[in-house]
Amino acid sequence: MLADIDNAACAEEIASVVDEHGIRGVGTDDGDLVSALTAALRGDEAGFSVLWHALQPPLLRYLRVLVGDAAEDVASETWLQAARDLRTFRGDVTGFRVWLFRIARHRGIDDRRRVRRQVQDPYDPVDQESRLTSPDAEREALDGLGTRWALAVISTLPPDQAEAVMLRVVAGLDVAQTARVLGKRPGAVRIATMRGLRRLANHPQVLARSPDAVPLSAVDTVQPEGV
Amino acid sequence: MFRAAPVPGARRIDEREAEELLQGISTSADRAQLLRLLAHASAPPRVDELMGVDEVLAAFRDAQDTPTPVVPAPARRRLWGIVSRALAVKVVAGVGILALGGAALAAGTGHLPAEVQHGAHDLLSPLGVPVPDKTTAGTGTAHNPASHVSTAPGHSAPPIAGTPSGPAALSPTALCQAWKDAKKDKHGNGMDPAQRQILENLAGGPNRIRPYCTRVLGSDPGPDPTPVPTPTLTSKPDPHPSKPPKSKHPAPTHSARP
Repeated sequence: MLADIDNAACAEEIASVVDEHGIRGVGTDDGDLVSALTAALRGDEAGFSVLWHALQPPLLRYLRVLVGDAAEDVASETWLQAARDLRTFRGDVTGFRVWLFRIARHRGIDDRRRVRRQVQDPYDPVDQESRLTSPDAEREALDGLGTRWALAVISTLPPDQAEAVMLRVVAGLDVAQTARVLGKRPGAVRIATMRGLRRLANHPQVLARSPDAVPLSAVDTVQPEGV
Repeated sequence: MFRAAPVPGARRIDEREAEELLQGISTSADRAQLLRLLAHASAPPRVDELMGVDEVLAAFRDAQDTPTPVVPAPARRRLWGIVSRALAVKVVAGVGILALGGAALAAGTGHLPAEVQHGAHDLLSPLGVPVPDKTTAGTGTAHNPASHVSTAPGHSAPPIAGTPSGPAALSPTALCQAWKDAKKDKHGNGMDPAQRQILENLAGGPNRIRPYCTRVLGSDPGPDPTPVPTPTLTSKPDPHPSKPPKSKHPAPTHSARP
């Protein structure tokens, strides 16, 4: 059945995406981020480094959807402020995550005001669309194209839905924590998330990638030079 | 008006299903595309997302060197008020906090020995004095939005959101072990590029990984006391001078035991 093929192919692709690094979670020690935070609060640079390595990637992706190309700059500003204000922080790892993303959100909003962007959708996926049609999911994942594609699609959502989805999916925050970052009520977060997922489910880019759509030849997405 | 036949799974996502999808769970094939998108969005970190740590750590070091406490003026006045009131009680009780300004300053930055820090913490806790040893609460939710359709094989990679097991792979010990394993791998499976990048950052360069990991994994007991960029969170002695394992109570009090 077509649906089964679709399902199986997707399942494989999903497995390859999450498995690509083969990270085995060596010595799964829940305490690592907890001890990192403790150390950072005591002024231990190694602790702060672990926090950064764990949180910078999700932060960047959230900001990519929030402010597009300015994501790297705003992420830097976020960490600078976090480093300066760390001594005022109290709480656990989750609290730190919320605190950090709140800073990022405020910096992002400031950046948007500063630049006075007219474009509703700050991350313009237009020039990405034509390239992101390769069925070679594993390589895409390695190149980051799959992620970039996913973020581009999420960026087309209305801002409150896009933010809710990113904070739930990518930042790993639950409803209450997301509500604190966004300054909204939990009920509003649930609704925004649900609506966002509905839109994503019906998004042309999502629907178009099913195998029975326009056949995608196994061509390199990277155009050879001179073509 | 003509209506197309309903697409399978065109039923709308409700809140319950939304929560399941966020966990990467779906019982219907027609959500597979959406799950795929969410899986891509939360895929493990890439090397290019782990650049620029040096500047951030430099800012962190600068922030540590700030001599004055970052306490805004109104809070500082409150600080004095609370401390002096509390001290009137505590001094009588014999806690023996040091000179007022110095203790408040030192306590505020966490640079007191643990026992005194506890006392200061109790005094000054409304104002954000760090607890010396434990963090509050646990590791947060066990939220694991790794996407998988029910038919997919179990996976082992931590998704981007950083579940409790994810960041464990970033500890120096885990990274060095992964580096060692990759070297031994007969199939030529190299180390994951993102992990390798982190290890290079920690070790201070690609050529420094070997000596760094020898220290981390080996029986070499002696760390450099110099603040080289290779501090670890393992059981190595901490070169940072702020917390001796045992601390003598500085204030003379009556002897504790008969």
